[in-house]
Amino acid sequence: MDWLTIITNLLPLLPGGGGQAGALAQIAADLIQRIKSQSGMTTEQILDRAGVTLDDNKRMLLEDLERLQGANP
Amino acid sequence: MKPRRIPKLHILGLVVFSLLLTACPQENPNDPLRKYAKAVDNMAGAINSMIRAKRSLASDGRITPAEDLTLTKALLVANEAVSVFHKRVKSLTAAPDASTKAELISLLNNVTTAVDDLNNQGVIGVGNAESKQKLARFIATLKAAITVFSGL
Repeated sequence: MDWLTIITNLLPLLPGGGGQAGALAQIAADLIQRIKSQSGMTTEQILDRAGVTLDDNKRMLLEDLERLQGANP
Repeated sequence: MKPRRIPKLHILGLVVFSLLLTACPQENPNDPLRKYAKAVDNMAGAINSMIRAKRSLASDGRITPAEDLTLTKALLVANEAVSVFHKRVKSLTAAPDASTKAELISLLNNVTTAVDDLNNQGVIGVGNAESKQKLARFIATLKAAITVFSGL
């Protein structure tokens, strides 16, 4: 994987990379930490985590969709 | 005596070096599915990050409700495409043969199309230039994860 591309793209969102401290910096840091944590996990664990995240993503997006369509019918 | 300060650039360099050491281990040839698992996990994580980023930008008024709605719909399609791909990768028990590779390529094409639509319809349409630039960084992460499969 092009890890360098991923990290290079996210670093500018971090305070040390030119970004500002705040929610987006934390989100970028969490994503880098997630990628980093794969090295201590089995392949099965990585796939399981991906499945949980995808289910969580769907739930969050459906919540957002309901809220936004309620505001902009 | 003034305390000696370490330049920010040096700290950044150390962070990058440490990340590269831990995030770029040699793939185990006895586990050919590992790189696919990591790439799918990165796609799931990047979509999750983008949802959180979009929520943060919306709550700060840096994207409009209409832009938020367009992004949400496009993210749902992308998340569904990755979910289908994830299920297929999870069902693999060995390195994919030719017919499985063809199937994976077809599923991956759906992911690529969904991510392109997310970019073209969602991110590029964001009016606030700074918000657009930040969201584009997560799109780049998704695209980098997809490139893992270019060798299929």
